[in-house]
Amino acid sequence: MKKIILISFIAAAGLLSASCSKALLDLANPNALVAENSWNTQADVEAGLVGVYHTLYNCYWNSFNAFQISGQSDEFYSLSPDADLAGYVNLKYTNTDQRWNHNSWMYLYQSVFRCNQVIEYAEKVEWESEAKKAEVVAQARAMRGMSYYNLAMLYKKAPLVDWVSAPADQPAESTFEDLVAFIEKDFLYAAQNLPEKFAEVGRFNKYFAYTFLGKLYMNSGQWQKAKDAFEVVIKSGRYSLVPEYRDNFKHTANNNAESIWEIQNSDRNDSWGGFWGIANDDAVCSFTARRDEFLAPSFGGGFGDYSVYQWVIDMYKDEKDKDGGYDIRLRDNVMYPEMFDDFPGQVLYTKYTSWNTAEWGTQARCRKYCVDYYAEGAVALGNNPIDIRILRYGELLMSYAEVLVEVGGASAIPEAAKYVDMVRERANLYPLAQSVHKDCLNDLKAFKKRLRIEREKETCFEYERFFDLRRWGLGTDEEFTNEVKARAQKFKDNFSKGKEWLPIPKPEVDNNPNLTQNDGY
Amino acid sequence: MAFAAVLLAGLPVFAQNRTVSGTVKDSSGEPVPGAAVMVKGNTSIGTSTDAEGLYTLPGVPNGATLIFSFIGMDTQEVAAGNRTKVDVVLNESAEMLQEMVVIGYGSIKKADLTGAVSVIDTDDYKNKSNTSIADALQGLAAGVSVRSTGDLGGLPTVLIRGTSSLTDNTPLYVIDGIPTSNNIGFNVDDIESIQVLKDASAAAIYGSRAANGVIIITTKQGEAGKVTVNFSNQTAVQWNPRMKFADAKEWKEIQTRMIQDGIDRGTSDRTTIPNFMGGDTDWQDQYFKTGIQQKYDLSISGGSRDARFRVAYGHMQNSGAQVGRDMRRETVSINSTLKKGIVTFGESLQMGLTNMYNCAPSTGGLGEIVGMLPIVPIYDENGKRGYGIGNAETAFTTSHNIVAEADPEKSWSKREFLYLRGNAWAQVQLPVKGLSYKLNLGANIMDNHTRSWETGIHYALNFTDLPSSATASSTRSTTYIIENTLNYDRELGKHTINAVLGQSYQNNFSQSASSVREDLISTASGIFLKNVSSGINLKEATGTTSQSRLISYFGRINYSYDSRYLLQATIRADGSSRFAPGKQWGVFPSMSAGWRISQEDFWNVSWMNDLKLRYSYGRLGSQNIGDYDWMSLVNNYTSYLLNGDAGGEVPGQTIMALSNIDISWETLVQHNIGVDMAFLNNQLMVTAEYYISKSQDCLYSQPILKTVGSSSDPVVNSATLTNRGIELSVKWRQNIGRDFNYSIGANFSHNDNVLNGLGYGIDFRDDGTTYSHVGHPLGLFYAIVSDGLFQSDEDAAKYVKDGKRIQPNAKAGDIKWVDFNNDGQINNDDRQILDKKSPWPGLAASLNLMMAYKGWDMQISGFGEFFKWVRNGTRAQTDALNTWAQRRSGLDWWTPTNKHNNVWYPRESYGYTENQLGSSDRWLERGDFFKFNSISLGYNWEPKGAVGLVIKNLRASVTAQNLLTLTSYTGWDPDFTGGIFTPGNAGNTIANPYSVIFGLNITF
Repeated sequence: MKKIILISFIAAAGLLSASCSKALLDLANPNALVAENSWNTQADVEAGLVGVYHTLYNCYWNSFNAFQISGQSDEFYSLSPDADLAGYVNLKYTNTDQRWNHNSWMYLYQSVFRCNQVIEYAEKVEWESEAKKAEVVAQARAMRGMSYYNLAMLYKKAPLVDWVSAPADQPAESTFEDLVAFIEKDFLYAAQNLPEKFAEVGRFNKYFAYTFLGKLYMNSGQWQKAKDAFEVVIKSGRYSLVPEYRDNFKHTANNNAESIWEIQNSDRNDSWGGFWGIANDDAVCSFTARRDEFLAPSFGGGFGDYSVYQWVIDMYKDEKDKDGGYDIRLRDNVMYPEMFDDFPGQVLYTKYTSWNTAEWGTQARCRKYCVDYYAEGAVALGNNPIDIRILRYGELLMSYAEVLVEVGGASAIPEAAKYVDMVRERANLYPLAQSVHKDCLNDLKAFKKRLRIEREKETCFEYERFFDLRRWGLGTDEEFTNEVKARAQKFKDNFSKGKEWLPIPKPEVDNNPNLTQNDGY
Repeated sequence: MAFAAVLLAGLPVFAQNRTVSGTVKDSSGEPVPGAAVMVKGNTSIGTSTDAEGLYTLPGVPNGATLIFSFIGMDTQEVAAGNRTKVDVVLNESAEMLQEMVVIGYGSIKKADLTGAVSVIDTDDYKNKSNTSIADALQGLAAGVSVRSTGDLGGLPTVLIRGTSSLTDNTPLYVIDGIPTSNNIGFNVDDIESIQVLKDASAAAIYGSRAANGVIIITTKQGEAGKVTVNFSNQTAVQWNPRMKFADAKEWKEIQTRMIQDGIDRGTSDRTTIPNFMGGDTDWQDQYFKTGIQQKYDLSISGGSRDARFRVAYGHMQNSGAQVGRDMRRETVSINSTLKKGIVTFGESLQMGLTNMYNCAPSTGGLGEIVGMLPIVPIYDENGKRGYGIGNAETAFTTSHNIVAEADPEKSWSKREFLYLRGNAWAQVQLPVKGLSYKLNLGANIMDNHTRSWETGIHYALNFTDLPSSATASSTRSTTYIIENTLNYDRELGKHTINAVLGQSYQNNFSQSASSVREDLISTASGIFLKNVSSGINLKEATGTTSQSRLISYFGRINYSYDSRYLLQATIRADGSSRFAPGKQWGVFPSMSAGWRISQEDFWNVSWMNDLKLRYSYGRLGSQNIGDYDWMSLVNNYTSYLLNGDAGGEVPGQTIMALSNIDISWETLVQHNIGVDMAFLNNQLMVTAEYYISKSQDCLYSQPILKTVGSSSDPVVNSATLTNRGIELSVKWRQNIGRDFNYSIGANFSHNDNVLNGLGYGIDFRDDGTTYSHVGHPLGLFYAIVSDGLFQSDEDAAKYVKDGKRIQPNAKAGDIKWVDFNNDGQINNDDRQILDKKSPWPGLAASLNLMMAYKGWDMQISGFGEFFKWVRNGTRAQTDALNTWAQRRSGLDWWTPTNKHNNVWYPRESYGYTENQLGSSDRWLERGDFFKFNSISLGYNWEPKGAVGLVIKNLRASVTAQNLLTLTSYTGWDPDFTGGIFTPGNAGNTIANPYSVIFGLNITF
């Protein structure tokens, strides 16, 4: 007995001696694949590319882009009881680490990180053909370009990371000009290597790259290049305006003829996964766009954090359409107290046919991308299935018109008016020459001013407004800045020079010795 | 099985020589049950005394000497001669010094201890209601902080000697030699003894898991003698502390004044006073209720010299002190020990089955009550399905109506938790004298099953209804342990040697699965089927497993010369699977030494009976991270609808979170100096400790730059933390006459915590309201500082910088804020580190007073923390008068006719946010408190005569628990658990309930 126990002890000790214990301690992770084993084949890198597309479901692309670009512009103000949120919308940053702003930065860099994985690991695997490889890399670079476009346009300067990051990296900041040059290279590569059309509708194609090139050039003062880029898209003849304006913001008309590129949304999972603060990388992914949840009024089941400035409504009322009614885009873009009088027969959230001032108050709200046409509420958990149109032909035509006159001056007005009229025609408005605004065709300054209004009527609450304001002189041109201040009280109260760019999140500046805060913060 | 063996074993019978019998009593004349009686030189002849102190020992040879011994008393040898009746009186030894202290893989006389160990007297907590081990510990050991929770089935937070880690500061719990956790499934009634190993040398034998201290629990064992049956019942009436909120009338007055002020000032988005909703509801009345907790324990124990057993069954049920909550628990404990020749076998098994019920699981609990408004009626035909909810115009709150939510036909969650902890062991006396071998096999299994369902209807403003859903989830965590140890125990003249050599293998495995289905089948009238299978659409189905292993080799030697010079050395090597190959092993040595000056020949101080100096040094390790944190993982959930919704999800992959392959053991290095003293015939015992511990390479998810693009922060060996502290324990006990005795015990401690460094070159961490900066304690308040109230508009206008107003919108009665960075405006950049208002208590103290007179006894115990500040998150909600929430009643708000300078109660106006800045000192207040956690009165009755044949002892007691707290704190409870980086931030957590407890304990 004693011996048996002694032997068992020695055996047990022996069993666990150094050589064996090594194997016992080396455990594999049964729940996830390990990075080092995961980039061996072309299929791995192609899957990595899907992982890049997946970031379009993160909080930047599913909602914060709307808050950053449209919410902070002169279109919206906030009366939210959430002081942090209200301060953010109203440009009154008490905290440069404001969460919406911080998370936007974070999610954009998550996209960049994943793009860099594909671009770098593509060099380490064998490809069926160089063309295939170029096509995959071009899509990753298209996404990287779009991510840096947003970073540059929001923050002016940002660290350029074009390698697969390590945790301790403290990348140095790049100027706006450096960023533009880098983004241009990515989009040019994409333009050259992407096909005109993929079998899958969600992928980036050649015209995505050219449209973004145009936008990049337009916002960096390179007008001629912008014109060339937009022309490629227009001349391709692949895109056209759809007859019904609101079809651009309905899930029943996703991926229509007017869409150059859109995020493929769906209500297939109503998960909290994509809510703010979460990267939406869990097993149950949320495929939805969430802007509606925050923008919709409380009677529509939203948080009602954003209210639309009155001038937006007034803007649409500067002329009547061919039938003597108001611009149908007012109806399709805004909810406001008089809407049921201005557009008889309207139904909100499938049940309201009149405005209940006692309970709803008088604040106007955003209707674009709202589910009110088929749902009883804003579907608060994010069942919104409407694809977010990042590049839309209607907007491209307005940009092209602007570029034409910037390049050609007064002589280009007739040509530019042609494209404006295409958009007006769809809204049932008379061509400019036959409209109450016909005088603008005779004066370059007046025409440019008209263009800005026409652009806003077509594209309000989409993804360019804050950038448009800066391009037109916010913070640099006093007259224009005053114009903005006059129509949007929050600019009068809280805007000062430098705030035409957003603050870089505080911890990023504090913890990275190679990065400094923007002037004005 | 072992239990059956005990029943079969019976008592040994000897049919020769003489039978000696007698009584063993103590110095006060009380019988001593369970005292061992043996024949010197032939230990096979022996017995023990019964409950009356009587023994009968057959087969005693003529002229034999009998040895009488009992724990805590001096062993006596009596020459029996030819007598057949030998009565003895055993004298109590210097009790606390002779006590054996369990130190892990063995025990040691307290007198020979060289490390810092607190021994908990189980009598000190027996009158209280203790749902878990941590509850029992509260206020009973210096340097052990227990922050309670009032949440039903919730577990308190235990902190030994301050925050030493940035991930997890939970101490290691060891029950009968097997590491486990503090959990609700274990019955405190089964505890025989608790010791807390506080310093590195004491805890060193548990090296890798001991950096946060070790709590060693020994369960009750049967004693040799007659079979004893014990029954006890505890009935507690429990109710929650409440806050005094304004009723509808007062609430409307406050809200009207504030909105009117906002309108006058032009900051309000409302142009008229709303037509407030007309209810008058005391939501605390709806949420809180009186709970009854009943606890029944029955145990049977007994045994012979060679076989002992104890079986216990416990039942507890609590009807909950909040609406829609209750719990039940059944526990079983089985222990037995069998001796056969040189081998001793034993096992200890505890099982606990806990059921917890929550009727409104998706609401925010107490936070909903604070956010609710008294003007919202419970029932409202204009509300939602007959219930009152908020309204954007007339009652702007998004809090849930708790009455509507707490309906079992609306939602519930039921959690069933099975806890199984057991070990079986065999010890063999080896042929070398004093050497034994022990094999210990243990398992710790925690099985959690939760079922929940909901209709998806939310009774709150702005919450859209969801599809109905049912969820079933389960997690099982198992730990298996194999331990081999060799023990050597030998006394050679004045040399005493005790050595342990061992090896342990621990395997942890956990698996979890969860499924959710939506759109439950229901009748037209809304009666739902509530199981997952009743759902039409599959929403989620997950399953994961996780595993880790720990292999350890350890050794310890204790050497004592003449109980005068004491030495202990320990070494432990651990290999953990949580680190990458090459980084897995850590070696943790420690040593300690003691000098009992009072044993020296030159010592001649009559009033001081004992004096011992101790010093220890040791290194301990920690690995409180995830099982696979060193690996960079690829996320395969990153799918995309490449071809639109109809095209379906195309799977993708990406590196989601970067990791740090170099991570390895977090280590803690600690020095401890202690002194133990006994005075005045051991009536006064004093222990004092000073320690300094440094946690190095703390494992921590270090926030990294977002430009890296990782979606989570990698774990890194980064921070360094230092804790320094002193502890003082004093206990006085005295017997006055035969009938009256009393004792007074007090513990004091103070701990200083300093953050010495963070990783990746980062030297601070900003958590909004707190700031953790290298060179300073963790989590100091970081706030904009107020400087009184403006008494007039002119005052406000005069507050300028370079001719420009610093607070351009401020008016009379508004708070004046200090423009700390002197930039002419007030914003978060004006926050200051408030090192004078520390969230860490300057002093923690506890007091325990016991008195006994004849059968009566009385206990008063309490604990408190002093010199600490709290950020009262509840007040930041109720007193922020630019929003809608409950209001505290009867406050002295500033008005033009009621001017004062108290920043707690400024002029309040709707839409003006500057008085309610979240990171401001307006919400800070003193958090000092002293809580009487037990005031009790008991009576012990030992029946005589016929009743006495059946009932040996009966005890009845009544206890007031937590009934009295001395504090100026205005929130729910100053005894709360904060975060590691926000230690002083209190929110809406349910305070520990008040209880009145009736106890009954009968021994048969």
